[in-house]
Amino acid sequence: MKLTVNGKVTETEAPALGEFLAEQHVKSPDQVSIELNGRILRREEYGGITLSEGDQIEFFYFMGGGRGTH
Amino acid sequence: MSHTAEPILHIPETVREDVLAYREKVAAFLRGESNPTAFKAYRVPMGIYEQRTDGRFMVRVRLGAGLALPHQLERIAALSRAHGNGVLHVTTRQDIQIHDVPIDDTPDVLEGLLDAGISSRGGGGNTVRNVSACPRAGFCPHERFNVAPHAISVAEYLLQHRSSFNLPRKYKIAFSGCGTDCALASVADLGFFAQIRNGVPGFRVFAGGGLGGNPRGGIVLEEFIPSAEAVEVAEAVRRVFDKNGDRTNKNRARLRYVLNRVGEEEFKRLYREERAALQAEGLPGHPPGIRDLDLRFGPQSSDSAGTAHRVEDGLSHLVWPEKTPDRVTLRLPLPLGDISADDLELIAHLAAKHGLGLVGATQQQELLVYGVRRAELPDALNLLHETIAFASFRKSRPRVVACAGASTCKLGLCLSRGLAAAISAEFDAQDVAGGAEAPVIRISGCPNSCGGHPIGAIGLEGRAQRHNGRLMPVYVVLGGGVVSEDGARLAQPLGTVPAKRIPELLASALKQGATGTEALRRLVAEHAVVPETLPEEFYFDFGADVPFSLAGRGPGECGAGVFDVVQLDIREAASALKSAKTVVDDRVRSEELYRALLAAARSLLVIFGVEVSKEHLIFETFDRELIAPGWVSAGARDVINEALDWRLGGQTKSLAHRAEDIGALVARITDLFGSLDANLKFRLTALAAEPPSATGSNPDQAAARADLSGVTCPMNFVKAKVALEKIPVGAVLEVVLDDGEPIQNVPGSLAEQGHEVLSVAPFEGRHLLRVRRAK
Amino acid sequence: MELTDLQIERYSRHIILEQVGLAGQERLLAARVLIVGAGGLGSPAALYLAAAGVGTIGIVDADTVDITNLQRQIAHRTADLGREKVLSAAEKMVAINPDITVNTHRLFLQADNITEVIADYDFIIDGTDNFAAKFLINDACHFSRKPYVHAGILRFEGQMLTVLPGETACLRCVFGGPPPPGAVPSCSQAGVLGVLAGVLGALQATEAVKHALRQGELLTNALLKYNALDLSFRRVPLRRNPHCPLCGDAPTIGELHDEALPLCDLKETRP
Repeated sequence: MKLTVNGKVTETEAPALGEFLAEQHVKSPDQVSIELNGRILRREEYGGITLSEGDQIEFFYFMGGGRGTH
Repeated sequence: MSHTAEPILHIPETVREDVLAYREKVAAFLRGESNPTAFKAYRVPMGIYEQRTDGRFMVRVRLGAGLALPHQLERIAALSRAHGNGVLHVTTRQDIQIHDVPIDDTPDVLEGLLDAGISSRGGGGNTVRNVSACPRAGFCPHERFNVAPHAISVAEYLLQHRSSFNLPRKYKIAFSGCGTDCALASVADLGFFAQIRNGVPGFRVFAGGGLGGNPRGGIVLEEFIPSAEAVEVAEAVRRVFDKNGDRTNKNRARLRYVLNRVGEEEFKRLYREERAALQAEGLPGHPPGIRDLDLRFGPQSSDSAGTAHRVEDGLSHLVWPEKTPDRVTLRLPLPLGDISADDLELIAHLAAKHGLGLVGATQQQELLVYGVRRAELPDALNLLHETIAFASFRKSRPRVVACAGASTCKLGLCLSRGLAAAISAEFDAQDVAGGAEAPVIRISGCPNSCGGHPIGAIGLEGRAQRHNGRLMPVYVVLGGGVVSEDGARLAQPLGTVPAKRIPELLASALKQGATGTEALRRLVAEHAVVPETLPEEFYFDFGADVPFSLAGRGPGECGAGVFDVVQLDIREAASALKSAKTVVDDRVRSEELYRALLAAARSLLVIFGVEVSKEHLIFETFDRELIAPGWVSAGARDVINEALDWRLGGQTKSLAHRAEDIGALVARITDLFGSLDANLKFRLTALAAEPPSATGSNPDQAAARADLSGVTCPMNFVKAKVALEKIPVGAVLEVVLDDGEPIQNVPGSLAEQGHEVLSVAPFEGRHLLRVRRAK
Repeated sequence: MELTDLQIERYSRHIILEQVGLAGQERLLAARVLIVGAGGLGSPAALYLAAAGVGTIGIVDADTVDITNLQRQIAHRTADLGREKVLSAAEKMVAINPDITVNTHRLFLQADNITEVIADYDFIIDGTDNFAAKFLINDACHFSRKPYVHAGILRFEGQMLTVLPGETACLRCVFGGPPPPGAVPSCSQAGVLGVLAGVLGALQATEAVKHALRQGELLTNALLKYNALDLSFRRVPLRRNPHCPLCGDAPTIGELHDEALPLCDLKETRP
């Protein structure tokens, strides 16, 4: 199945979003916000989303300002 | 020790005659036979200025090359006690001022001075001012040769001509004995630097420098002239000035404006023309000889050579070496240049007893006693202990030089002398050390640089700023000013700091050694930051018991300080208008519109010398000064009435429908401000006097013009755009453009941005572009 | 406001631009922009806005300059180590352009002071380095209806979003709220390419300038993603999220509150 992930066409066997996240090494859903086909998903939805051919997925990560010390 | 009473500078016969005629002029004035203006025109070139206190006058006594004999100082002290306030003031141009003299006493003072061989003639007005010289001339181990005799000779020559007292503006000449420029020759109207070329003593000559408004360093007029030609050069430059100086505008009359106007090449050509004429005709009058001061005051036979005497602990900063090892100069730093008559007498006595009988006044407002015998130094210092000012002599502190400031000067914004005293107090409190390496701090109470701030290692320029709607005295701190025989470099502004923070800032800078431009800039930045709320004292100037205000200040040489304050208000009005456009809430919008109206009404009041803070008084004064004379349309009254009604919770519930009127008023005020000239007069015509057609925007009325000759790409395009944005949409602008790149580029660029190019025609060797503003 | 000849020269390259002109430059001089954070993002933004002649610039930071800052926080120099960041930055800004007024706010923005600080400004730049501050700014700008631009940077990537509160998608539309403590290993997020901060900070300044000029289109309802390694910019379209806890259909956030800071953040921003 081909998905467009962050603008790039990506081949995956994962049938659902949960598996796909694991495949993408996203360890905790808290780390990321996901837009699926133009809609921001609520985190509690992640487990119940099945993927379809051609889905557009965008991952948004939390980004700070570049930590300095330590 | 007694020297002959022969004066240093010989007073020319013409000056003597004029001084003796003065008594009758005063009498005629007091009898009411001459009007005050005419009398003032006579009095000021005599070196007599009116003080701020009614009926009291200041007499400025010029000292040739800054040098005076003991009996002359004694005379000055005695005259001050008899006719003035008993306190003398040493100026930054080596004069000594007698203060608080009643007008009836001025003839006695002038004749008393004349009797001692000194005079105040040319101490003020549009005259040849004191010809100054290195304060240590003749004694400084670093000098190339003694320049004092040359300064004196030039002064004696110029003073004998009555034309020297009716110049376009003042003419300041200075002589420096080496490249260090202690005499500030690089920023004088005419400056001479001693040079020795192939064994011949002579001068490198600078011209067209000057502090005051729009300060600048001089240009090199002559790389080298033999010293004997100095008089001829001074006369030639005087003639250039006399013929080309702008007598119609006092504020642009100084020699540097001639230089700025005609350019360096033309200026030099005019000078060479005058010199050629003088060489052909010979110098008129009596060119004085050079009297050898070294012979008179120079190294005597060593009477106690080799005996080293320890200087009393903590007083070594008062002792400067001379060329001869057995003699020293005593240096007495006068606080703010002031010295009591008693102390002055004592110093005269000291000079006669232990020195060579010669005293000098310095550009840093010190007195120097020359040629004190080392062997007698302990006695001399003991004598100093008896002065009232000894407490300040004994402290080695950085020099603080200040202009007279707002207390006696109508132009001043800030009380510069008050600040100077506060700085000195802070230096005492923090024990900040002085010494030869310590930077000189120069303070001017306004942008006119009478305190010499543009050449200060640290300079301070008084300004006014608004903070929380109130006026606050502030100073622009400048750093890096340098004078030298390679030309002057004016100090750069580093930031603006509330006046009340300046003493602490300077003490920190000097204690940390942070006096270099970059280090100072950093400290200034720290002190420049102003929190929302400030202690009450920040709104009071030093030594003032009422809040800081601009009321009563006249138009300055450029009024720059006043301009700043007006600009602040106009900016506030513009920003309130802007936010009124963006806010949705009607109440907030009305508040913003009211704020815009109030700021606009307040903005120009300072130029009428009015400073009010109550809102209804602002509007009242605005009505009187701007609406009634027709500067602002009478319709503004309705707007103000409605605004006040809204403010007071009356019938008017909103000002939103007045947005356009208030916008137009702000625009009119902005235009009026833009049209202010140096005398703080509007160049725009009052509406009442305006023909009706001129107020419309008939596009063919045209004739706004931007002369961009000499302006290169792309600045010409920038300036054309700026000029276009100042005329209404649909109106026509004429632009004068140079041939070549300018005419090839600017019309196309304007068209590209949508404006309508109407025509391009040849015009006085250039091109005249007519363009209609499209949007 | 009448520009002096010197100002006309200083801003000539702006004035030439058709979309700017004299009127635009005057708008810039009348503009009031607040930069929160005088760090990696705030530095370039502050310097460019100063150079551009933005008349009043506020800068907020409670920190002092630390040696680890200098790799990317270009408003500060080695000689500034230990100095208050706001003063160090203000000094450089005024040195570039003495026309402008810089207001320094040496404080840590919190729920109880942020509304007052931002009240004086027309546009806010979020140049902070921690999530608590980022969401606080987002929320405060929402309640005060102040337009602002968010940016974040991480390793070789950055992102940015401009928010017109009440009109366009906000930070909470995308992320809901800050990650729960521990979910994002913030202590390991220390790595960042220095110049990345410069790119994003300069882009934030661009938004502030466009806003003042009222020219062009702001980066609203779209999140810009920048990847320095493959040098790609992507503009990902967004919509307001009806589930947004702040500006959605059934908001749950009715007032400002301070978010908890992860331990690393605490150490750094509250020395």
